[in-house]
This record gives sequence, C-alpha cells and structure tokens, in this order.
Amino acid sequence: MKRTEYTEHIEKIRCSEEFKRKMERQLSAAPQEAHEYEDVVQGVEPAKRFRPNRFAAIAAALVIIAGGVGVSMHGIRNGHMTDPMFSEIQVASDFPYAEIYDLYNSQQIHGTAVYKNVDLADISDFQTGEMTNELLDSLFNNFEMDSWNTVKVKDMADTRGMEDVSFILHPDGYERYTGVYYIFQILENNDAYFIKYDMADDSLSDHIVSEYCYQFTEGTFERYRDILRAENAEDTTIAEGDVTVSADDPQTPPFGSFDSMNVQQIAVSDFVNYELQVVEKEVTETANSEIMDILRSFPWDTVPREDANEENMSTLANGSKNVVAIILDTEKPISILVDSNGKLTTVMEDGSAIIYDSGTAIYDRIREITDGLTAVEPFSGEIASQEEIDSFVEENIDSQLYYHISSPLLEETQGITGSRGTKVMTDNDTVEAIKAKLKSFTWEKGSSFAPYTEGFNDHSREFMWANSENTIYFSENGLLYNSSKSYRLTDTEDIAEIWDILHENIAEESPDFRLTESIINGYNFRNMTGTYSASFTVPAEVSVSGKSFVIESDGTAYVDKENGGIMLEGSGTVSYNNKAETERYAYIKYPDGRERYDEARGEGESTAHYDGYNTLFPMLDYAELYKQVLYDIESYYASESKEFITDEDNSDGSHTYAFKWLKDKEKTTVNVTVNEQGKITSYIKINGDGNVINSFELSDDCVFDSDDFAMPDMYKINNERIIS
Amino acid sequence: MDDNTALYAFRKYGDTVLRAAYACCGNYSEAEDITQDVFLALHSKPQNFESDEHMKAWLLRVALNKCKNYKKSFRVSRTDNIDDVNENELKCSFTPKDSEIRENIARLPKKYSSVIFLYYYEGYNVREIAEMLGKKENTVNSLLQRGRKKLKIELEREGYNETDRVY
Repeated sequence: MKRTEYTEHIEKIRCSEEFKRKMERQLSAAPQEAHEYEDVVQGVEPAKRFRPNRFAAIAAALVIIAGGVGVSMHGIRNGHMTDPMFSEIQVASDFPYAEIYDLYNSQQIHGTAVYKNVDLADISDFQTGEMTNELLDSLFNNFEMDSWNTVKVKDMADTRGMEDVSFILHPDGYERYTGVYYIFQILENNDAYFIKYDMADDSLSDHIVSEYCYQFTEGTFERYRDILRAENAEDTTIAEGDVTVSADDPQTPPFGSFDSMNVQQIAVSDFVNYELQVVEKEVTETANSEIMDILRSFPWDTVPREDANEENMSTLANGSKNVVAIILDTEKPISILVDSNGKLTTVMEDGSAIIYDSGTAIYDRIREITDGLTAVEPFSGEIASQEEIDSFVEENIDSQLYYHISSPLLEETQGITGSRGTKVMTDNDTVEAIKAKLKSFTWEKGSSFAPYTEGFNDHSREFMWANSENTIYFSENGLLYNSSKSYRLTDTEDIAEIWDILHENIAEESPDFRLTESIINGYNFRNMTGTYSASFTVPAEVSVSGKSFVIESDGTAYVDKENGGIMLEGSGTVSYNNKAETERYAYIKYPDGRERYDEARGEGESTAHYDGYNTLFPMLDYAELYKQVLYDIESYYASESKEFITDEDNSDGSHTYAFKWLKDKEKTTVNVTVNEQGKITSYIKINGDGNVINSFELSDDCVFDSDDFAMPDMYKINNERIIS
Repeated sequence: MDDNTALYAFRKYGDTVLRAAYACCGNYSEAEDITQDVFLALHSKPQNFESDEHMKAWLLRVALNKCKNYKKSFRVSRTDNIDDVNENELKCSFTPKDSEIRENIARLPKKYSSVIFLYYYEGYNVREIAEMLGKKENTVNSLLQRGRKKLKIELEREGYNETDRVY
C-alpha cells in the first residue's frame, strides 16, 4: 500500500449526515452527567467451560497461552524504564505524604493492600496483606522524609531485574483497578516511583494522573523491606522465613530434578490490543544455559504454591497477559510457564500442574533472554511422510467428535460465558471416511506452537477429538494438530472435502449445533438499520449501575436502530427502585444520559418513550436478543438436567428449536424460531409455572430497512414533569 | 469559540476524530461510537483549551485512548464496516482497493495504527506524537517502523522531511 492510498482512503471517511444530525441534537441538549454503566443480564448462568478431562503437559501449557484474555494490568512494573508503553512523567517538588495519609485516615481509602514483588532469590515468600495504620506509619517514617531528592525518570538507572517492594492504596483492594488508586514502589537501588492512577479518566495516557520519582538515601530499601518482612512473618505460614537460595544451593522441582534436562522449545506469548501473539524462538546454547541456571536457582521448596485446579487455572489463563512457555525434555513433556503477573506454573507429564508465586523478576529475566533470540518459522516446509500421517491419524481420531466455534457474537459474550462447543458420536463409517481423507492428502510439518502463531490462529471453527490420552484438532484453515505436533494441508482446496464430511455428520446428529450455527450466521441481522416492530414481553427486571428497573408490560416495540430509539406501546406498570409508579406518569433518567418518560393512558395502559444510544433490554434490541439465545443454550448445557432439544421444520423454511432444562429445581423452557437466513422471528421463555419470562415476535409485515415504516416521533422530555 | 464547546468542537473536528477512530479500528460503526463518546465526554465535562490546536490534540488523544479500551466494553453491539455504510451518506465512492485497505487497517494492532495515523495522515512529527501519546520518541519511532511494516506502507520519497524519517 502506498502512503497516498492510505491517506486517500482515510480522507473518504467522514461523519454521515445522519450521524451529524444525531450528534448535533445530543450536543445541543443540556449536558448529562457521564457515567459508565454495567449491563447485568439476569437469570443467566455461565456455562461450564468445554474442555476435555485431561491435557497432556504441553497442551495445558498451550491452553494457558491460548485461553487467556487481555486483562489490563496497571500497576507495579519492574524495570519499567524500558517499558515501551511508559507514559506521562511528572517530577514532583515534594512527596505527597500528606495526601496519602489524609486519604487513608479519612477512610477514603479503606481496603488497602501490601504487595511485595521482589527478586526470586530473596523474599518472594511474601504474601499480599492488609495495610494497617501502624504499618503505614512505619513505612512512611522510614522514607527519611528530609533526605530524598526528586529525579527525572530518564536519569534513573535501568531497574530491570532489581528487587523491589511495593504497596497499593486502593479503595477496593489491589485486585480491582477501578477509580483512583496509588502505587508506591521502591527498588533495591533506592529509586522509587509513586504513581497516581484514575481509571475513570480516559483522557489520561495509561490513566496516569501523576508520577513522582525519587532517589532515597542508602539503606531505605532494606529498612522498608525489613518492616514488611517482619509484618509478614507474623501471619505467614512460610516457616523458612529468610531463605536465600542461589545456584549453589539448588532445591527440588516438582518433577524431581533438572538432570539431563534442557530447554527444548521456548515461545513467548503476548496480548497486544486483545490479540494473542505467540512467537516461538530458536533456543541457542547460551540461552539454554542461562535459562536452566535461572530455573535451577528458583527456590522451589520455599515459595508459596498451590495445586492447579479448574478455578485457579482459569484465573491464571484470564490474567496472563505475557507468558514465556518453556518446554523441557520433549520425551516426557514437562513445561514451565512464567508470566508477567508473577506466577510460575509447572505442568507435569500427566497434565497436573503447580502454580508458584514467583514474583515478576523471573519473568523479566527470562523474557530479556528470549527477546534476543531469533523467531522460528511455524512451518518448516518439510513434508510429513505417509507413515507419520497414518500413525498420527490412526492414534488420535475416534468416534467422539467435538465441534468448537468462535465468532464475533461469541467473542462479544465471551466475557460472561465460556467457550462453546457441541459433542456428537460419529458412526464407524464416518470415522473411517474422515481418516481416509486425512491420510490421502499432503501435509507440511509444523512446530507444536505453530497453530497459535500469527497467520495460523485466526480460524473460528474447528473439530476436535478428545480422549483421556490426547486431543487432536482439525481447523477450518486446514491445520491438524495436537499438543506436540502440527501439520497443515499443502493444498487448501482439500480442506472443504474433510470439512463437508464432518459438518454434515455433526449437523445431522445435533440440533443444538444447528441452532448455534443459525444464531451465529443470523447475527449479521443486528447490523440492519431502519425500523422493525415486534410484540414483546419485556424482562421482569433490569439492573443498571445497581438501580433496579422492573417493567411488566406486554405490547409492541418500535425500534429505530439508526437513531437508537425505541418506543413501546402496551399495557402494564413500571417500577423504579422497587417503588411502583402507578401515577399518571413516571420518568427514569439513566446514568448514561438516556431518558424515559412513561405516561399512563387509561387503566393500566402506558406508552413509554426511550431516547438513547445504548442497548436496552434483550427483547428490545435485536443484537441482545441473539446473545440471549446463546445464554440460554449455555444455561441448558450447564444445567443439572437437560430434558430435550428438538428441531422442527416449518412450512416456510424456518426451524423452531425447543429446549428445556432444570436448574436449582427451576424448570425453564425456550422456544426459538429462526428462518433460513438465521433471522430470529420468535422467541419465548417460560418458567416451570407456565408463566412467560420473556417473549419476542417480529410482526408479520416487518421489513428491515423499509421506507414504508415511519418511526413515531420521540416524545420530548418536559423537564418540569420530571419526578425526582 | 462557540459557547457550546462540544458542539463547536464537533463541527470543527468531528471528521478528524472519526478518522482517527476509524484508522485505529478499521470499522466505521465502532469509529462512530467512539467519536460519539469523545464529544459527549467533552460535553459533560468541558475543558479549557488554549487554542483550537490544543483542542484538536486533546480530542485526538481521548479518541485514541478510547480506541484502546473500546473492546473491553459490552457496549460494542454494532460492527458494520465501511462497505455497509451508505456511500451517498458519505458523499464518496469506495473501491475494492478501499475494502482492502480497510481490512489491513482493521488487522493492524492499535498501538501501531494510532501512530501511523498521526504521522502519515495528520502530519504530526515524532516529537509531537510522543508528547501527545505520552511515549518516548524512540518508542514512537519503533512503533512507526513496525507499524509501517505491518501495514506494508511504501513511503514516497518526495514530500518527506528528512528529519522526520523513521528508518
């Protein structure tokens, strides 16, 4: 692309007339107080993650790498002088001791925490702990208030790999990075950072309000560390206390010893703007030697640890932004993962794992080594022999087939629910047909990390066979792989032949698969602009920023997607914060500026006008309705008892799916009708008593983007009639 | 300046902010949403600007920060691309090449796309970008280099200030 092409393309982008009108209208009105709000979906159970029972060692490593999502981790940065994202710098003329102390004493900061983040060879046994008034006093008194110098960040030495001790002052504890919070970090060379963040202010670079840098007098770090160490010794269960471990004093790793072990493979994984980027690196002799020395000197026996389970592995996967995965001894695959959040995980041959609180220094040291290594090409160009492919296919593929999917819709709901898949048993003829096809094609060999690297990890659908020994995948971009090997089809036209067999087979067997596929395919309808009308039963309760709105109404919704407007006509009542408004009108002002006005017309009949730009309730927003069906499918999978899922062909080509589940003794039934293009035309959810929880039905004459349908004018809010 | 700063800002810099957001995410609807957020933020919390240039820099910085955080939000409900936007509305025509460029932009990580936009489209120099984004000049240089590679931008030699070169 030429620069001129880029600029000419950007030049074409301009505000549409419609958007201009909408903005002019919003900006001409009185300013609203801006707040973020959190959508809360009621009555939705997160589904269990779809995973095979056991992973081999490398597979677990890769699951951790591949399973993580980008979690913004603001805070302590070891060696952040070299952090490329390092942002605003402010040199203070004075240390804001009074500000912190006043805040603490005024209870504006009430859930403070101590965080210790030091080099692996010394006090990595420290735990996160509560900050007390006494401790805060001790710490501040040891800052030697009269003897520091303020310095510019650029004058400070590179602090990578240094020991440091830190604490965070935050209203909600150190794990929740919202609102205003403070971090103080002092390093072993007595350089110190004090950073104030405001997560609510998007106008700040990296949300940093101010950053102060100091050079404390010699000995400050040691005094500071000793206070924390003494405090920690009172309640920690680590009996070893001040264990100092060096390379001369090795301890025992959980897999026995490092004898005859080497770094066989190494890969780094980063989340950059919510995208996973995995790069395998070439292991040099020097790198092997340096990394093995670091691992040998890790205080395996004394560092706090816990056995991995589904919960902590999931937390690890979700929080691991940057990971280095080291594969030791490929015959008995053992892997070690170190991540930038200060965790080290060893994954053993049998798939079990132990998570250590290692501190971030070990990650920094190993990452520095890997950054200097050359990237390995994911696929080598070498063609796999027929024998190799035959054996790979025969050993791994059986009748238990799973289907894994992801799509923009699934990604949007991923934060609430787990990954999705469906399981089906395939008959012997199908299994043999698949095997024969797979064996008849030519495959190029790749590394075990190849399927996770850029250019190969962008598939959204894959089939999977999983048993107690192994898991093998075939993805829609033509990759065949398990935890230790990967292959790709040399002729991409072959993909369709295998895919068709698998797809037909699973579609035949599984109505839930067909429904999920329909919903995902039809999700494009959310992009429709214009208006549509639908009859509806709105949800019983919607929570916005902790405030509860209860709406009981039946009627017709007119949705003007372009203008973000929704008008309801029907009968019923609207309650606000549990107080039923049975007066002539009710007004609700949403935190984000949306407004709603209800006017009673006759007995129990009401018209409600909405004017806003955000999504409202699942039944009233087409995109949300699609998500709602997926939530229901998830609830079905996660329930104690799944009674049925059926698919009925209708004469107009649409399909009606019905499924029913039991959860906490509560029965729920959902019927959803989807046309051939995936457009949802009706939806109804009924509880065990036969009462309708939600329902939605497109009007017969509904045409998206129809010029014939005119959205009724929005009611102009009369401020004088606002109910406070 | 108008009494209503946000309205004035939108009329003057609406397209600029929309383009910045679009250059970051490669998606017209997302860009509209981000633009809306930027100006509503200014509307609800007016700022004191020393000049129009100061205002523009503030708007761009807020827009680019919002782009960075945008996908965290559950508010992402529309993902129309530029192909779905009515060309008449935009009073221009899109070619197949435009679609290709848009796809490339959408694939480019945001940290690169923001500096690429500020440098190649807005014409800010490295020092100004570093100041605006709160990054070091070396970081901006390196982001430009990598971003350019990823976007496969071939620089035209003419019209470039030697001191701004990022080789």
